[in-house]
Amino acid sequence: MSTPDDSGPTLGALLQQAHALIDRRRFPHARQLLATAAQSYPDNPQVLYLAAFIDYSEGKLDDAEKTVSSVLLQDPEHYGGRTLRAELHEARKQFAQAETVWIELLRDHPEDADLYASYGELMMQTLHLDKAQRLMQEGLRLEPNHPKCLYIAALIHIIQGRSSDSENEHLQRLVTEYPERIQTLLTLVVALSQRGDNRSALRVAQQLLAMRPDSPHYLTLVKELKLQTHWSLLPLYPMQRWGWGGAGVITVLGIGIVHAARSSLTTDLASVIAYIWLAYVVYSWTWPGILRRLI
Amino acid sequence: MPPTRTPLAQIMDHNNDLLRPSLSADHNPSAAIYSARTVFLASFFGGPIAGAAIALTNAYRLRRLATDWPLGLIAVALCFGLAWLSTHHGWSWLDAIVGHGSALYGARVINLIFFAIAYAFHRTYFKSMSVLGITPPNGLAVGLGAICLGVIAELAIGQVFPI
Amino acid sequence: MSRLREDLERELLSNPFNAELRTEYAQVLLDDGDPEAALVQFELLNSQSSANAAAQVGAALALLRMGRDSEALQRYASARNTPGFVSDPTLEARLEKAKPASPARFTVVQGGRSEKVVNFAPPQGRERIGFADIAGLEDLKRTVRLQIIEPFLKPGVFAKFKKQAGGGVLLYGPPGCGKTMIARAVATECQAEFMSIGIADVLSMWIGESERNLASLFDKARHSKPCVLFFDEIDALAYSRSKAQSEHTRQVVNEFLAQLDGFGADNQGVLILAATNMPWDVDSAMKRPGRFSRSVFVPPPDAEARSRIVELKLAGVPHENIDSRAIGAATAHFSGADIEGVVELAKDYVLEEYVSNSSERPIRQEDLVRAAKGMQPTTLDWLRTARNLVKYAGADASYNDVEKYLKTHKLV
Repeated sequence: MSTPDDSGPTLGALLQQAHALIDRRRFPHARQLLATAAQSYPDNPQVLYLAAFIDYSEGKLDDAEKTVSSVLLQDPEHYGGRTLRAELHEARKQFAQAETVWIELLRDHPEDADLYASYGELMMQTLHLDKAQRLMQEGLRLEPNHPKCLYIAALIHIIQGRSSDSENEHLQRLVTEYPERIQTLLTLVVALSQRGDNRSALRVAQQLLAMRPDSPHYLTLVKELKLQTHWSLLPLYPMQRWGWGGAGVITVLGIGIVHAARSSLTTDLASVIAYIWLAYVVYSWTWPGILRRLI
Repeated sequence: MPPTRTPLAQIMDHNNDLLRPSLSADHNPSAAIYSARTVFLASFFGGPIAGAAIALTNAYRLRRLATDWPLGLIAVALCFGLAWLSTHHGWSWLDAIVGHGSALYGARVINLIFFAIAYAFHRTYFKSMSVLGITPPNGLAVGLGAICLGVIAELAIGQVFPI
Repeated sequence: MSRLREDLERELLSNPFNAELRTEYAQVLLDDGDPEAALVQFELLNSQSSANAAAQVGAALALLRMGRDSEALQRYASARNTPGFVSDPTLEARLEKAKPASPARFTVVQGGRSEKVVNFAPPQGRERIGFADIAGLEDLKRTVRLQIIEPFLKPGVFAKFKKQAGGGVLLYGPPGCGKTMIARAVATECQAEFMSIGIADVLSMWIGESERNLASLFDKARHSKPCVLFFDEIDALAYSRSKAQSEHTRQVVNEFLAQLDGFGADNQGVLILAATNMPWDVDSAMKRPGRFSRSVFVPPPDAEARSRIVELKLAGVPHENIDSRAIGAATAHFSGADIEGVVELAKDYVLEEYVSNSSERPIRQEDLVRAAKGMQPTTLDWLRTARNLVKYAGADASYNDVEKYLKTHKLV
């Protein structure tokens, strides 16, 4: 790194500071800095790339796309520009184009665990779980504690439902190595709620919301878990815990009880039981939706 | 920043399969399929053929028609089976247990069994959507259409086995 | 890996919030010769509860085993202030031998270089703002006087009542509501110099300079006693390490924490204040005892303050028949900057009329009312976010003031 002289900061120094501001999500301040840098270095790919990254982070996909094109025009091999292009394709749900870019990057950088993680995430989102798993294995072979690889591998494990959480080695490593990271907390919420422990999942989700209280996604997650753990939904616990299997068992049990009542009890009592069963069925279909509006 | 390059030959041999594209403009499966609830309601009210209509629509969205087409066959077989049972006193054994009207219960059970089969085919995808927070598309219109199709199909099959 | 460690990991997976279990697990890691992993667990415990003396001592032990002796001793020293503290013989012996934190530690940068990098010269001749200059906010002023000013001016009295003194104070609230002004007023009331540091002052343009700048500014504060050292936008400086992507960001926070801990041992005459619009982005370690353990919510100006701001902004500007109290009442939740915006908009209306009709007139009540109706207070976004925190995120006691404000104004 060159030392400063009295004529002002070097490009490297400006970029370092912009990086620091972007890491702290100080986008307006970073923009100002990059505008200053752009005056002296108008076509510098790294300056343009950081500006595009800020646009992408703020959801301005068209602006980001335009700037990324300028980056790759100046430097077609620019690593950041290419990865950002892939991410932009994904944001626009152009998954095939995104895949093409990730594969090209991996051919150029075959030992980059970050790229395996990103490509694997795309495969997971497009439900190619086996391939996503193999990509994560490769990423973890290169970097055994890569947080994003661990995160995606843990999610795939949960989706495939192959074994219990305690045998989800990736989740264990995430919790051990990166206990406070957002990805770890998200994975924990998913794991806990998938096995029906919504109360614990709610506590973790609240931790997430405390870290990012302006996130509509985490707010929705907390509200949904608050709904699931509401006392008035206690009779629906079998469905929450065992999903459609639980619903099936309850249905068969309910029909069985109504029939047994009809054959062994008085007509009036049997009718009462039948109405109770009907009320339970109606409650199970309607009350969660009503409660969602009230919470 | 990207790591230093290493000779590609060894890595490429290992990664050839991994770096083969899985997506294309033609093969770009949608991650969002109609929810399990839509399949359930269609099966419950419209019979196996209605349930199969939704399930096969999901299979099409997942580009899995080539593997999931047996669902259609199973649905048709179950419908024919139901019609045969209704016209050949196939439910008389159930009458003794639940009394009059066992055919209706029997049909409902068959509908639920078909739903269980359809759910098993796409269980991983339903779970993925749940884990990844993917919202399923609104199934109201397609569900109603499937139920109508199912009812019409059952009436047509009923012509084969007149009471 | 011992079987006990595996068992504990399995149990933690199903019960992640069990503090005893996690403490036991961290201790096992330490005994197993894995101090790095143990430190991670102790830090997590500390973030879950700021008053966990055992976790702080555990972290100090882990740091010692990692060869980071000075950090270990600083951590151990700050743990002593925590309720439930139990001494550790090894650390006690080390502490006895170690030299106390001295000014020499902070004079890392020698010569004039640091003067060029960061200029902390106190604002000579700048107008001093006191509480008398801040209209309204009587409750806040009372809180600030009790929690900040009086303990600084009369530490002996507060020590007699075993009231916690020392450490920094974090001012938080929506943007544009006067946190910096409050900090300046505190300096005036404490009859102390005021040193304000923003992110640009510390995030240096050259690698490795951030840490040197931090050391330099603490040194300057010590030599300028009595002094109020004010960190503006501290969320950018002490950004939550669990959200940071880059290692450099984490290093800056680590250095800041170490400097605060070392500084705490000898900080008579220096009051450390910080302000932030985003308290949820501040690293949780910042809120531990000995650092910024006290938080004060700076709300949007009340009606009295708003009417006073209107009067101040209209001073010297042609106006007539202005009922500033009515404007104050009509601008609920407006920040000081918003009120300034209202007055500017009213000026625009008058000037627009002049340009189109050539009729010059003073600003009237209806101009201000129209301007107020045309603007949304910028504090609402912040208040909505705070409401999420209070209502849904199970926010800790440091947000009690916000919760009270939201309930009083029926926002939750």
